Amino acid sequence: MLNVGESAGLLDRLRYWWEQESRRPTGGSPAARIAQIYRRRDMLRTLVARDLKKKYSTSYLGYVWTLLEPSLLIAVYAVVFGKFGRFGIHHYVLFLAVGVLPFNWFRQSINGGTDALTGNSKLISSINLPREIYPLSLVLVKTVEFLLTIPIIVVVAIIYGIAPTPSHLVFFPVALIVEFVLNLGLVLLFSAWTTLFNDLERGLTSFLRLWFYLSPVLYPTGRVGGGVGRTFYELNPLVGIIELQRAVWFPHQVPSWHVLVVSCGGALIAFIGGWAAFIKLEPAVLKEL
Amino acid sequence: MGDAITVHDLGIKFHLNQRGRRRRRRTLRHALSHGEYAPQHSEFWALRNISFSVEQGEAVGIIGRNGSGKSTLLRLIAGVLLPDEGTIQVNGGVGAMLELSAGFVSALTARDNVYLLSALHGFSREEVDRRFNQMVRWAEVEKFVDTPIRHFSSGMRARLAFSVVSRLDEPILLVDEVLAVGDKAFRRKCARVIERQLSDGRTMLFVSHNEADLRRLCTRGVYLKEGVICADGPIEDVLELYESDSDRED
Repeated sequence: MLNVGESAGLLDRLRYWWEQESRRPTGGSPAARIAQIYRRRDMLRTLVARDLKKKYSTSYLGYVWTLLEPSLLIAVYAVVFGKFGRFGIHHYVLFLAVGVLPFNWFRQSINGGTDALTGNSKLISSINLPREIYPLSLVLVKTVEFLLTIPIIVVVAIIYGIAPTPSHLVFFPVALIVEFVLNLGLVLLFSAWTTLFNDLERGLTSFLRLWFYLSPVLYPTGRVGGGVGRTFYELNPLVGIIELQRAVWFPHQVPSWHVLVVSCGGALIAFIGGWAAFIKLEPAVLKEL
Repeated sequence: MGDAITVHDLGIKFHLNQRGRRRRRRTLRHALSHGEYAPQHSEFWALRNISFSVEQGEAVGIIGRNGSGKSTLLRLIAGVLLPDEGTIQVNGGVGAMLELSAGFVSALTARDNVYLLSALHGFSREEVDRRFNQMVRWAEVEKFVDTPIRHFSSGMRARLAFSVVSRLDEPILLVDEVLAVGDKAFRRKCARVIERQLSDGRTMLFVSHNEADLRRLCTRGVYLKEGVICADGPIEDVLELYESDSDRED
């Protein structure tokens, strides 16, 4: 055991605390919960592997579907909006792909998140694991699937003969992290809410459709106009995230600082709020499973 | 020896709807209109004022009619339900054998499922590698290890799940009706496994409707009636009381 006398250093005490908290099965302060989840990272990995395996071992086309579905979506948008002048954008298909894929990741996470707890209800009510593991594993699965669709962007870029701007490559991991945090926060919130309120699941579908048109997926942010409307528009964290993704390929489209601050702040607020709600609703949710 | 489990003044309530069904999901309308949200008369205490402690190495049978709160009590001690009142103190790791095949995915093969369920119960991969053949042999499904588990009968699933979960070596075991599934030979096998675990000095809480199992495995009985403890004492006395109670209600 660790020595935790008066003379013990801060680091030792911290390690002792971590050891104690992670040994408790579930519950406690947010920091304790992180310790518990970290201790059970093998189970988290197992859940992620289970969901990917379930998806890919039961269909013959497997990964082909992962590529085909968003590709078809991009093709449809390209044809439809190509007819209407494609907002005057060069390389419109690349422009679309870089918007559609991050939005798809967002949509898939939220949609899947409504089922993250109810879909595992038997497991949750018979094995005592930190409940956060289930939404977290869902978001990780969707992240893997998003990364698996990146080749679509690369192929489209090759066809256009466009290379990413080297100094802008750093925007990709930033966009990835910000969207991950945003998705996790919302999935924590909605996974608990939909367990308690059945109606929410349907409302979310419409809400996501609205959100799609309120995000710069099909059109550039420049088309939104100015004034108060624009300020409200930019409160959407996905604006900054999609612009960051685009900046990798379109060198003149670096998002402004305040958009970035709103995106990072929005993601953080979603995460903290979502998790707080999750912790608060946990006892009620467990009764409903 | 010290107490393995201490339950103090435990209570948990569920919401009832008009039809009297438990655990109904609330609609958004319910939640938004404050007057209707969780009114007093729609609450139902599944357990209330429950206090008892279990010594280390003791085997306690929980007895009661359907809906008396036996499984709820086990779930609370396992930590998969959180109480509205009172506290639960557990000294040592808990192995919960509640819904055994809960972790199974029907699309995956028996082999994948054994690894999955084992991992979720905290076994390392190496441990499973080492014990895999033994587990499959015990469950008598050697021939079907690479068959998707959806083709398994419920008895086969139960055998496989029990074979995995019974290898938990936590000092406290919670067992909920696992012996109720499967044929006679399987039940005898399960009972032998549990007897061996008990002789290792482990603590056990055991929910069952089978009096023979209860008499053989447990020394003490706790009789739950409508969410409160009605009797707590030697298993023979408690079973007798339960029987005379049930006879009277007939």
